[in-house]
Amino acid sequence: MSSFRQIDVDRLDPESVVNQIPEVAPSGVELGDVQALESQVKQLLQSGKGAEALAAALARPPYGSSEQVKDAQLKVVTSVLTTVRASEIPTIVESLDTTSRVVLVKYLYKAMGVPSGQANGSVLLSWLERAVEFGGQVAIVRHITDRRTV
Amino acid sequence: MQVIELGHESITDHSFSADKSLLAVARGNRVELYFNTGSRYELGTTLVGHEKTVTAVDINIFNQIVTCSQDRNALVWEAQKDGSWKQTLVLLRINRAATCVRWSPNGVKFAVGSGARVIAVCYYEHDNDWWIAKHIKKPLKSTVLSVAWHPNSVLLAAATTDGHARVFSGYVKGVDERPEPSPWGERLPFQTMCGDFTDDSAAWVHDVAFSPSGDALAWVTHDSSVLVAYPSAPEQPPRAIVAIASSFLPFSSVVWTNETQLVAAGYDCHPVVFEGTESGWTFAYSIDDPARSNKASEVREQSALNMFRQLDLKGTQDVQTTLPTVHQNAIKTLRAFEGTANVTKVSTSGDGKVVVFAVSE
Repeated sequence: MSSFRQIDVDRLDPESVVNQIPEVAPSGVELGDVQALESQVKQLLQSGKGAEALAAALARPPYGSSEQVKDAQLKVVTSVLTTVRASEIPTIVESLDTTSRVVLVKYLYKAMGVPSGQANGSVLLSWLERAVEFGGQVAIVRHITDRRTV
Repeated sequence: MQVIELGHESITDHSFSADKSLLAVARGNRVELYFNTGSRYELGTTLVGHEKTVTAVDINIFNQIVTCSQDRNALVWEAQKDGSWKQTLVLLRINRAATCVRWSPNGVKFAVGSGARVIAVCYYEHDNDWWIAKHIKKPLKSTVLSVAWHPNSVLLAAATTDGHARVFSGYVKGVDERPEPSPWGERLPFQTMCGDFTDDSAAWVHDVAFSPSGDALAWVTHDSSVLVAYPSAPEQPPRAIVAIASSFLPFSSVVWTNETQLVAAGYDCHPVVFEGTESGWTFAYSIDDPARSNKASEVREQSALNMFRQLDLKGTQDVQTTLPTVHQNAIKTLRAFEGTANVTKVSTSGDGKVVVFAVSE
């Protein structure tokens, strides 16, 4: 590689906007909302309604919220993903709409990136397998592309 | 379907002349010209002038060829009487690679998109025998991946990696006649922004295209969506923006075939047709549909060791060496081949071939 390619031209260009990422419109999810969601999801899980619990957990992704809120919601979603019986996974994934399926993939990738999620790696992978089976590889593409992170 | 096999090297862009006698193919840092001999396209001349990868090539109605490259230059090529091609350098005044170039439909101007967050609109000045570049800068914040002209040769749409599809005026005094008022605007001095569209995911935009009438704009983004905007009146929000969240891999190129149908192609290696109106768009059918392909997938002969290795690594013992589609790799460029207001054939390129597909099912 010739030497000129190694110069960081953005540092020399005062107008450079390389690090300016477009703002994400906040969805307005607060810590209180997540706590309410947590008890709602708990109830649904106790009465065996896994599909409803997951749909509720994925309905309002905390786009643009603080890391604290995001982590709290991740815990709620992971609790659903790990509580549901493995035999139920295909029917639950099939019952989700397209938007929720993309949110699900976002959470799967996020969960796989933290130690608590990695402990349940095999469960998360079987969810991902189903999500890709019903939503296609495009679900992963959307997760990678989307600037709104969970 | 007509498959023009041109070797194995990937093709970054291709363009046919209006009468289809000439096919220009950009690959590596050269442009190959193929001439139609009736039965096939035969390599005639190779245009060598760029130092780095040629990113786009386009032929206008006067058979002038414009090329642009990562070496930050654009060249205009004109055929001479003796069969040679004369190159003219166009000073684009950009400090990053040129990524795309398209002639205006009337063939007197061209627009070059670049990584320098600038679109250069270039026109010829007779007095000085010189191509002049005017810049559209604001409010581009990112690399321009694609440009497309409105049929009136004044309005220009741009696709950028900041997730916006924008419409600008590329009006050049003395070159253009004043355009008819349209939903995009009435008075259009150079660089006026007539439309700015984005969607929630803000995925980067690969390509834009005006409908044949010019009254609608379509763009394709890397989250596999196709979006269509219908402007209402100047300075007003659009009448409708329709999004199609497709289940295909992302599209890198899009063209309209008529006011209610468009074709997109990209990483799924085959073109896909969408149909709709302001009230909604849906997936219609695939051209060269891999699900209906009768091409037997070739299975490579393999050793026992290899078989067990495949079983271990991939859980299958078959090694598929070809795709069921004609294109064996992502489609980079899709262009209208036949017809303007009602396109009946499209041409595609990406891997080492140019393919002409009929649009009808």
